[in-house]
Amino acid sequence: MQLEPTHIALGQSCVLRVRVEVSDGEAERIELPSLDAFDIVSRQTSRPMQFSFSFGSGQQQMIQRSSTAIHTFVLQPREAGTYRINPARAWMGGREFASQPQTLRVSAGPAPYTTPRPSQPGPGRGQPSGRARPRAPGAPRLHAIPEPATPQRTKPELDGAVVDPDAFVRTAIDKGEAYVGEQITVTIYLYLRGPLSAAPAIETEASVDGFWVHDLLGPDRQLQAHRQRVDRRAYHVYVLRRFAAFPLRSGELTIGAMSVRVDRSSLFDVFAGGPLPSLRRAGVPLSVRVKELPAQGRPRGAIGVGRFSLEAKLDRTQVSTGDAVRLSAILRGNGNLKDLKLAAPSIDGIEVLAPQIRDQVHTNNDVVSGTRAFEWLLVPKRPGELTLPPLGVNTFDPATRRYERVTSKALTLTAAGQGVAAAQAADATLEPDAREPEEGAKFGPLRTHSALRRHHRRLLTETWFVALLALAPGLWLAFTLGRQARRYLQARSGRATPERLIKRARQRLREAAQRARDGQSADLHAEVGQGLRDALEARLGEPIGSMTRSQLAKRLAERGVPQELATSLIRELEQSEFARYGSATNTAADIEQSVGRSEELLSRLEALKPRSMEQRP
Amino acid sequence: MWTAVDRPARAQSLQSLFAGANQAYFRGDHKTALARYERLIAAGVRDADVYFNLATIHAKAGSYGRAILFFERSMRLGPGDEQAERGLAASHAALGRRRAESAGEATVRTRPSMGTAMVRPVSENSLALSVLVLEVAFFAVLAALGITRRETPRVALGVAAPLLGLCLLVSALGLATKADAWSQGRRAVVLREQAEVREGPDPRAQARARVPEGRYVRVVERDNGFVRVRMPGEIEGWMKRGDVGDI
Repeated sequence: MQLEPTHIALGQSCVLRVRVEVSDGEAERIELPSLDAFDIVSRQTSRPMQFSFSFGSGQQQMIQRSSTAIHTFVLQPREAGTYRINPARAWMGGREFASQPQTLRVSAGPAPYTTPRPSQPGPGRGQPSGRARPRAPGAPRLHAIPEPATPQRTKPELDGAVVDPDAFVRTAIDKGEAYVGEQITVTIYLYLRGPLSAAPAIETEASVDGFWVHDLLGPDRQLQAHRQRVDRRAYHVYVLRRFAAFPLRSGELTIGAMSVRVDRSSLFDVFAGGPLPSLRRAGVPLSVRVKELPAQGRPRGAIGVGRFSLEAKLDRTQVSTGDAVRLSAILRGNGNLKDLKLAAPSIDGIEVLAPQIRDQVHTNNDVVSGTRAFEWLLVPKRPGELTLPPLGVNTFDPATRRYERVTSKALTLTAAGQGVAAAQAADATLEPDAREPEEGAKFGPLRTHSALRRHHRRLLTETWFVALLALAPGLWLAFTLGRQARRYLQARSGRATPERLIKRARQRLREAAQRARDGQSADLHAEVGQGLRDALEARLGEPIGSMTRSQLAKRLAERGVPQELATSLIRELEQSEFARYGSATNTAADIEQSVGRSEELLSRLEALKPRSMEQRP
Repeated sequence: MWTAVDRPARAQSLQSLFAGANQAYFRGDHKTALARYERLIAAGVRDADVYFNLATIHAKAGSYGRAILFFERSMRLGPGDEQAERGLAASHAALGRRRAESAGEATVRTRPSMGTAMVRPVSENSLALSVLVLEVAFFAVLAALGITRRETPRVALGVAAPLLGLCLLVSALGLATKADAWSQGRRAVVLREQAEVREGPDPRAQARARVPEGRYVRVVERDNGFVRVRMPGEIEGWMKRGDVGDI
């Protein structure tokens, strides 16, 4: 864990960096120190990317052999004094690792100038919280890197990189001099003779103490090589890292050196008698001169470096006294958004609650841009028209080297209803239960528009509605009962009494006789036979159609039909059958005789009371 | 005899009365605002917004019993009004807190029964209409089922009939709940803290209980200036008419 600087003045910031590095694995749990005593201006967590290895194509990918998590905080103390930052802890494989605690001194007056710490040897692999320290250009290397056999030269045109015939690392910055808060783009290249046969491993990340950084390359990128000739040698050049660094303080700041290891084993090593040794290379730290913002024309207070616009709005402009409205302010533009601060509006009669801040950072052509949104809840304490003054932030544009104050429009808020203090006094006059409105703010707001409806008709009390409700089941009931009645009547008519049947037969016989007298005698005998059969069946209560003559005679005797009547009936049935299919012509006398005999038989059948089936002898 | 000219002028005066009541409220003159809203009620206005405003003023003044009464009336006329529901819940909660502070403890039931909660967002008239429509559809399907002979329509009607019957039953139950048909009497709210419940409709009758403000009761009978109320726990008695407000 590292804190830089360790002595600042009140109002200044410091950077706390916690680096957890684990080889061949990942920390199971990381516990960061409590920072409640500070305002956290910004927070960044970076984890060096891991890529899967693909072999055989022109594009090689990087494999991170160690897992590293770097937590960077920009802190601002609230009061002067001495602060102890507890150690950060990490757990791995059942063991607990802890960093050293840090102490920060905050003076009320200006802080002394702090020089960078002297370089220290970098950590070995697998030990947490270690990091590489910067070294001045030209100073001897501190890492245990085997000296190349051939002489090296620094190349000023390559940002002072130490050129090596086999491989070297170059750190490039787009500007060696910048203002505090101005973006510096840092790119770290790996120059390699020949293409990568194995993915390079990052042993030590470049240190960026005193900077707030934002990665400019996406997490899923692939290493792509471009060719470049240096000292008449062709190299494959790979971009290992590119990030935007925003210096947090003035002075000489250093972008530290990255160290990498390149394995050179290949399938052909068996023919070469063994693999080539790995190459370990480290870049050259670069210094950046960071200038304070120009004093001329410098406004008081915090200054955001970059180019920004500011927009503010209220979620509603009319509210009841005591109700809250939301004031939103959005700062949009290029630059160090995380450093931007917007003072809360201070308006008499309005209570302003603590803001909520949301950042959206993105990059466009390696320029960091985005928005920082502030949201305050405002609660008007008194009624009336309240004017919110424009919000503003001072900015400095490094391109034009000019200060500018970016402001929003003034906003107006109308609060209606009595103020809180007046409400507490006035409520005593209300009858009959005047009491303190302890929950007044939860009610309302009053409705200012109403249709003032005068009639509320309940359908359940309307006669027509009740009638309609009763109509459907009533209709259905009537329909169902009607159908039942019809069925009953139909069934009843199908079970006609013998007297009715005989009467019907007599009627049909008369009609047939009349037709016969009129010259239509064809169906007379059929009607005679059918009428007698129907009357017999009705009287006996059983069908006789399938019976032979002898069977019918026997049945009639069993049922108590007098012998003479039975004989007459059978004879008449036979004669009607013969006459029906015969070719003889019916005279009028024949017709009358036939009709007379049939009517007589029907009358005798009508009066007959046959024995029941159980009474048969 | 009134003419067509009369009606618009009367509506205008009601609107100006309403606007005047609101302005009085915003000026801080709650008494005048209340009086004007009550004049609107006396003029026959039965509007959810007017009841809501009345409830809001009473609640802000600390008269939670009346606030509850008017919030309930507002919700009966405008079901599904979340603001009124929130106001009602807040009134009950405030009453409970007040009672707890003075008596040390309080039990305030702020949640309605499940059946009441289910039908709360729907108006009584909507439920009644749905019952009517479902009833007509149900009996029409029954009648068609009796006369249809073909297989496929009979199956379809056979499936539709019980479904419609079920929907009709649910709607009818909802309507009965909404219309408060399960209990005798009209729903009402006690408006005064520790209002007396007497044995008879007479101020000299013995007081048998005291009821807290905001308690729901059912008014089953009226006699002179008293109403006979029934409460959960089989408590029954007579209360002054002014101590109880019909929802």
